[in-house]
Amino acid sequence: MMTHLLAIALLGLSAAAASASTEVSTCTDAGFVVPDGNSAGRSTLLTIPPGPDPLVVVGARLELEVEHPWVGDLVVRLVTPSETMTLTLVDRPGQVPAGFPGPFGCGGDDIVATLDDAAPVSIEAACTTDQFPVFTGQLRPQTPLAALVGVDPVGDWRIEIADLQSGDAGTFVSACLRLEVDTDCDRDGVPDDCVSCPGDLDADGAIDGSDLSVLLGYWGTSNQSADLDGNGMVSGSDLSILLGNWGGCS
Amino acid sequence: MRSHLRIPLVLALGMLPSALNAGDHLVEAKDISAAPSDIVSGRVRLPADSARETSSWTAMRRFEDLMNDDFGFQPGPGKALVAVLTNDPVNWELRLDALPSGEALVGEIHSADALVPGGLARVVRVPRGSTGTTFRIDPAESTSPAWILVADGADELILHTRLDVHGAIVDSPVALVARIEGGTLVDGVTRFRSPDGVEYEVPLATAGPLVQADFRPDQVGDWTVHTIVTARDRRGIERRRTTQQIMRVMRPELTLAGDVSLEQLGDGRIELDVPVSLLPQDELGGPRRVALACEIWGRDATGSMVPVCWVARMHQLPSAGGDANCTLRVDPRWLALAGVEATDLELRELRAHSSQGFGLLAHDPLPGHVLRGVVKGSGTPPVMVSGDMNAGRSGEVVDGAQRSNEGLLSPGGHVLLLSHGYCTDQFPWRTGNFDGDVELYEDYGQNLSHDEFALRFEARGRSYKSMGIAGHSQGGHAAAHLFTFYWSALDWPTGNRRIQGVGVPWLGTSLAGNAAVLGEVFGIGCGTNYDLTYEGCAAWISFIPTWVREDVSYWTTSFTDGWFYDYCQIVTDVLLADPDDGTVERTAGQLDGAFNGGHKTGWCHTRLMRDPPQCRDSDRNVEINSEAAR
Repeated sequence: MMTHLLAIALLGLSAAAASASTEVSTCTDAGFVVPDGNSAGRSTLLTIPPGPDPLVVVGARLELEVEHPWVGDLVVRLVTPSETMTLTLVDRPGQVPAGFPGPFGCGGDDIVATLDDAAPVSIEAACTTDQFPVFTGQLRPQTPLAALVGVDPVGDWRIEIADLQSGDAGTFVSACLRLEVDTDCDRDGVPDDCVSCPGDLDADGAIDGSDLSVLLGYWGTSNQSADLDGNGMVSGSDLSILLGNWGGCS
Repeated sequence: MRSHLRIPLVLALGMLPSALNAGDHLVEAKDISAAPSDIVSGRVRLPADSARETSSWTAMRRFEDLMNDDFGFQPGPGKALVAVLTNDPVNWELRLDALPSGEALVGEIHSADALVPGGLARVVRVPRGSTGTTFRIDPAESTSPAWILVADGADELILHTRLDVHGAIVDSPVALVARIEGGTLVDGVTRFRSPDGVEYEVPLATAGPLVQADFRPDQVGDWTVHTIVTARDRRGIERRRTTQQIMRVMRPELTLAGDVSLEQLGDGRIELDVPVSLLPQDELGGPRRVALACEIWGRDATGSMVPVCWVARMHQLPSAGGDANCTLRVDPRWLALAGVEATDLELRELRAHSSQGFGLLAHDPLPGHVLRGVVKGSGTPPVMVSGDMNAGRSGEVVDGAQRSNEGLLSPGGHVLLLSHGYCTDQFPWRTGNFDGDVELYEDYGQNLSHDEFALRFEARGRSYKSMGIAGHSQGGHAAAHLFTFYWSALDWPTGNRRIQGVGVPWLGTSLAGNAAVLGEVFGIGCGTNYDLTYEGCAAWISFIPTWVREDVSYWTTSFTDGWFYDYCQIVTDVLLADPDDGTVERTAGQLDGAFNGGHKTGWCHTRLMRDPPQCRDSDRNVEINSEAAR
């Protein structure tokens, strides 16, 4: 699978001030034919490589291009690297029992759109009879991408695409997953600063008895925040770092 | 401002999916628009009087009425015949003595199936060169009623009749207006026959520039209107002429009830709120629907009032009576295209028609509603009119027909649906001429309004991703109706034109009225069909914008016209203006604004006619197969 990383801009390890979110993107233009009338469909991977700091997703959008003469056939899902979450972003758009667009969904051609929670129009409601591509511009996905907030972005994201109604076949052309990320040094799913004052475990700007209490409380565990040397264990070496920095953070 | 609590007829768009999920027989109506050029051309305006006229150069009368009349006439140069229309012609004798030869001719039995299913007639043609005839009709042992049709060959002397209203309302005055072309009117009467069979005879009288019979129908339903006149042709010869029509008498289901207001929706569309007053639904009636329309005018940069667009929608009325609101919506891009200020709009030609026959229920030609409201600027004019300007989402649903999946060949496919027309018992198309995903619409023996027929198409279409329709006869009306008024699989085909019509009486056929009058002879058959009358079609077609017509291809046919007495069906031939296909006159088979695929001789409307049925023409079918969107 030819996946390439378009751009990654990561935060520095030692940002002293509150960190600002930035964007990481991963794209693929390795097109493939979507199996017609096959609920299993096909998938492609979009990889976000690890960086120097732990990251967390704070926003996301997906640029998607699919050539298909009946987009109402399509289901598009996004699976997180940990595979703990699957978002259905496109779900046979326009499929209603009767009325418009109809029981077989939107009959327009092609998707060349960015799925974005901030878009004013939902992909469910964007179908028209005379627009080509029928889905274009910014569209809200079926399931909000906001569900990805708090997810670790690093790893292989999987885009699954399936065509659930036979008779019209199409091609996946490309996709770009653009993630807004922030640092999450304590890996709790909430953005934080990767502090430059190792040992200030309570983040009060000083290394003192309260930090020592915190460290001792995690003694012998693998708690990441107290594992100051990152060796996987809260131990004497971590205590040495804390005592070595005793006093105020500069 | 009226203070009554009004019932909104519109379901919010956001409610639509759940509403549709409630039952799969709901259909979403379109917000329809037409370009200002359609207003200027009159395509979306109430039809002209001439478009609603029934015309005749023959006389059809009850046998009993003829008993006191002349049994003879002086033939003109055109087609001449005498026919006894009865269900037991074998028991009737018809003999005609032609002058000067003295040749005695005995009537032969012909099918009048094209007029009334199962209809029969004993017919005798007047030989060419006859200078006079006498005919004798003897019921012999028959006790059956009979009507006598006389075509005297003087086809330049024509009776034209119409009602003076676009929709007759019970207990309200109506007048049958008559005029003679090619001669002068001597005298005449009109017989209004109620649905219960009570007949009222009203003499034609001069009323200003018109000759008319004034009447006040006291019963709802389809009346027959039989006008019998004596007219003098240009040579001074007195001749009989009759017309046979249907008069649909409606309850005043809906009346306009106050000033129209406007508001701008979140998506920029301007919603017109039309207050109406409704009667409670007739207990015996099904869902009642009305097509509401109006013109929007605005003031341009020069200060002139110019047409902006025409808007319309089908509404399903609640069963309860009382005050309610019907809405229409205007896409602001029309305002930008017309270059008018959005704050100074005028409403014109506000009208409501019943979906059944398109009789006019309410009309306000110049309501004087100056719609002033806080409306955002309409922005940059679009480069061209887009499809969603012509047909928008309304969020309003009507009851549809029940879907049947039986016998489907291509569920989920892109199909060409081949359809028959009104009241048929046999599939008309030569199916071997079609390939790919083709489905047959077979719903025999039906008498449906265009609206009901269209909703059955819609129900069928729910089984397909997309469909084009090749409609024979009324199947063409129904397809155009569906594409105009409702969202369906007909909105999704790709290819050339989505509707193909063969032998479609777009402008109506006189046979609808004639068949209704002959109901007392042949029984009701499939029943009267007001939608197929000239008046019904004229009203209906005023709701068909150019963008719909441009998606229609149509073809007409007629009999092989040689040196002999030619026709498709000997009886209906003289009830129609030549050339005709036995049911549809070439002139009434035209749809202005659509693609005319041509007129071909040697083909008739249906089987049991002299030339082959028009839908069996392989050359045309192959053309339709290759051209039709699906």
